[in-house]
Amino acid sequence: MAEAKAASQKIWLVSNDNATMEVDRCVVERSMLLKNMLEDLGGADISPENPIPIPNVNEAVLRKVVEWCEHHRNDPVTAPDDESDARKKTTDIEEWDQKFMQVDQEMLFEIILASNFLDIKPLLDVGCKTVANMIKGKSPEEIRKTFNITNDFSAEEEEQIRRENEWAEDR
Amino acid sequence: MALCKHRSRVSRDCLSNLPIELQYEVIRHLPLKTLGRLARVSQLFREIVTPILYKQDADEERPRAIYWAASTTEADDEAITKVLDLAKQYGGDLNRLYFLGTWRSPPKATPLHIAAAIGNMAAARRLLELGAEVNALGRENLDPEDVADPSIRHAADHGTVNILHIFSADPDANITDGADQSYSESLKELIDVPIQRGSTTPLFLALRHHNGRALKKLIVNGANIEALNEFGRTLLTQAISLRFTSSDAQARLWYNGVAEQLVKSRKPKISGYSPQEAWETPLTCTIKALENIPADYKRATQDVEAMIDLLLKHGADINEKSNEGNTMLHALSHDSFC
Repeated sequence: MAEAKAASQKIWLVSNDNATMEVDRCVVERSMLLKNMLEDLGGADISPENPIPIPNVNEAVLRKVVEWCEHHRNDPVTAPDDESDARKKTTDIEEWDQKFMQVDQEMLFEIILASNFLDIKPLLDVGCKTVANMIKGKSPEEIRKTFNITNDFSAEEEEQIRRENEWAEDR
Repeated sequence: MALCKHRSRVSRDCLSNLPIELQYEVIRHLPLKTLGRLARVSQLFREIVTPILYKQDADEERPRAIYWAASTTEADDEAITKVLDLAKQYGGDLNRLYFLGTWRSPPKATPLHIAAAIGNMAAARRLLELGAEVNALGRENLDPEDVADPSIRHAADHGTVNILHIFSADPDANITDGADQSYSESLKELIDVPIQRGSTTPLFLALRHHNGRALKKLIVNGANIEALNEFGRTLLTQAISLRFTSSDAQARLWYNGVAEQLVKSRKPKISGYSPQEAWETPLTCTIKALENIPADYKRATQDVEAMIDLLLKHGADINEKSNEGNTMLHALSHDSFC
């Protein structure tokens, strides 16, 4: 099958709440899971009547994920282990992605789960960096508040671990 | 996915409920300080984050956990011990050399040096128990110009900071329990080794940490009481100096006792210093106590007089010029004593 033809080909996806959407094949292929699946199938049988089911993802989330893939349709595909040390630690996120991630917390985590399931590494990365940025610079109590985490330490334990982790505070 | 179902509420705890491999994906973007705080959020995060925190620290250019444990003067023993245990468990190097700039410690020091130098016994004890190398500051770790110096060569060859420094710096003298009995005897070649060129020998550590037992053992086993510390003072002049400058009455008493004992029973040099020797004489050192007019002037002059009497009785020369260029009377005429 020729490259050009494959790129303009349409694919249909259906969310777990039965919403069908039409997406360009090259957009769908941002997902390694779907790309491999399409290669296996040869792409022949997909139609509006016979869409690919995405069992774990609802319509709202799937639309967000597709929106991201549309915007990033022309990004070079990153090598699987593009993990230089410098890259690893930064939480810089490009502007469009930052805006894209301005969603409520549940949606943010749903996007992370969906991108993990669909194997869209760059989107997973943006999602995890966004969460990391929400943790950075906060006190333990502020982190608990932000994510609604229950403090299950006793007062003594809390004091003990505060003292143990004191060293990480300076600099 | 059914992670956060209740859309009506602000949010459930999505972060704690994230699959662990995705929690790792988030955590790997966090700097050390944030990791330290995240581990304090809940039991779950403590468990997940603590190993990452210590592993990441061990990979840093200048790891902090072990350095902190060795150099802290405020933390409790339990925290110090725990941090060292965890650091070791997750790949921390107990014998790493740290480059320091303070007068208190050697310019290059292992955590054991640092702990010994400041009398941090909990850390020293645990470092030894965890197998820290007593002689880690070996010759191969020294700069060539340092190795040209005979005292450093000596230190490198014999192991610089060693069990004697540690023992001497222990105010409770209990670090090695029964074992300390034999250290100053069996390790005589280490007895005058300073932790830094021209500075603190075990004697000065024992003095500073009020460790009478160690002081006695070191002297009995031949420690050189004329060795100079970084201020150009002998054990006697350092004791006199601290006797008059310490702000703590208990400590003044201790230093006074040491000075008296030395003068009365150990025949330290009290006069006749050559130019290479101590900067101050015991007499000029004593008179300096009155330089900055003390609050209780009357008592201070009495104390000073008592010390001068003692020194004169044991051979001090009232006309001797110190290597600073002062005689005692010289020094006196500079202040308001008369």
